[in-house]
Amino acid sequence: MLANLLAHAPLFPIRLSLQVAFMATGVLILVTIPISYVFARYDFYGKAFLDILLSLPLVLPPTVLGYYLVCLFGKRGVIGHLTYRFFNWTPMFNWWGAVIASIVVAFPLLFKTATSALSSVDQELELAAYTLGHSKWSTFWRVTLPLAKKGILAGIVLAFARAMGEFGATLMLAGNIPGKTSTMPLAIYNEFIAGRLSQANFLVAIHTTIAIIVLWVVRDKNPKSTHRLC
Amino acid sequence: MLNLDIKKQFKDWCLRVKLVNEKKRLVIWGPSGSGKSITLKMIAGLMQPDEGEISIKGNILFSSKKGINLSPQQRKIGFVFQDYALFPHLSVFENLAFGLKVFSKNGNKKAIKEKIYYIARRLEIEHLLESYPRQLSGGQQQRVALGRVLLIEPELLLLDEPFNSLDVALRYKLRELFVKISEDFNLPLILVTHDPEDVREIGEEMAIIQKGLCICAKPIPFELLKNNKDQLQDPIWEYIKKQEIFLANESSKRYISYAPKDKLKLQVKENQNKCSTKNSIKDFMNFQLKRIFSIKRS
Repeated sequence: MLANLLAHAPLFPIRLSLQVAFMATGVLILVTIPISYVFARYDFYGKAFLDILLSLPLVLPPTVLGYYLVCLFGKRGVIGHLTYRFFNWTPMFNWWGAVIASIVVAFPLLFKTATSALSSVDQELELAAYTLGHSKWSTFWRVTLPLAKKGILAGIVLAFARAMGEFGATLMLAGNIPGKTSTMPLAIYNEFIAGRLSQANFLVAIHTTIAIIVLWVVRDKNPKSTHRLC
Repeated sequence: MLNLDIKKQFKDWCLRVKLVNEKKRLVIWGPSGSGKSITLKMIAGLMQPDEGEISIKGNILFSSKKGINLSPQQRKIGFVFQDYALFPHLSVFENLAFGLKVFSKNGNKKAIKEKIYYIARRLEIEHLLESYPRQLSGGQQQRVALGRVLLIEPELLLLDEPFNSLDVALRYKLRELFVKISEDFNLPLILVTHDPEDVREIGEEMAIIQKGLCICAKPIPFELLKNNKDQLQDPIWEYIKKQEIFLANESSKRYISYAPKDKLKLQVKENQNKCSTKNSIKDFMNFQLKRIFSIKRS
């Protein structure tokens, strides 16, 4: 029975979802942590407004975000018309669309947790590192990041899980093209609508298992710690 | 040795420190919130004064006129923070090696290890090298923090109220240790404190800072050092009181002459509560007079 299930299992959505989630999380780590550091350590004009702007995806419905993304990346969009004109390419209706949608939707989860984790690092420790001859860069890697890593890791896990489960904005930007842009959540929807419940169940089980494994991997192994992830 | 002439305007108060330090151990004494720790941070390069000059043994660390401002990494000044600022994710050994790795880029690992073990032996923390800061007592953390800065071979040691969270017996022991280390390593130090015992046990010179104002450092008379009389009749208290009165007199003379008359009038008109206005000097003088009367009564 298992062999029969696996033979007909929709493996493409699983592979695509993992591909999209890993790519989106990688980009998010590179982009969000420097932004979070700036927010945690510096005050600047317009900071509060920018904070609200960057946190908007937390409260906006994914379809609204998707609409904004189409306005930006569509063939006639602010960015999309430039990429189409110079490279004959837009992220619409291909897997890059799913990556962009996942990045935007998952961004505030990593941004908020990383900013909070970096803010909680005692600045006196950074000052001590400076007086001991370490540059800001070296201090960030040797002091700030190791001390904030639990919070940042929690944010990365949340962002990864959110990127894997992204539906609305992905549907708007990348579409729901089986074998091309149908990620796991979209495939579950397709299978459910088509009445293929065994395949929908399989995808739901896979999704749940991946989520449990991810949370298990990053769990805090020290039961006495006050900053447990799960 | 240290030449300090700095000004920094904050939102509602002003820091003005001007002193020349000749002796090896200077104690800056003042109440909480008087600007002691900020002064140390400016010497270390962790904060920038608005104007003035900081130099050690003729080497200029900061000069607003000459446009010099060395970074904390370039100053090679050891800073022992009030809460020690030990890195909680690193062992004692790694804490000690933290600065050494930067300053001994050409040194081999064996030499670095030997240095760490030498300092650890001197400070009696050799048995703690594998431990983490959270496993140490206050006194042990203090020694690790001291060892960490000694290993970078600083030209000056800054101590920010280092005995605050320690019990009296441990304070006494660590004061002796700091003096001994200063002598043995030929290392000048500046300690900020609000404890007169620190002045007596550690200081050779003393400066008083009050409401962000400090105008000179003076040698502590020999007869006041190591005196074990009851604190109420303690000459060190009398000496501190005299210094406060001196500071009040001097500041009234000097500060009125700093600001041009027109500016003063304008500032009084605008009723701004800044340190260079007549108002704040009046406040400062009133405060000093009240203190003097209360001293006389008691």
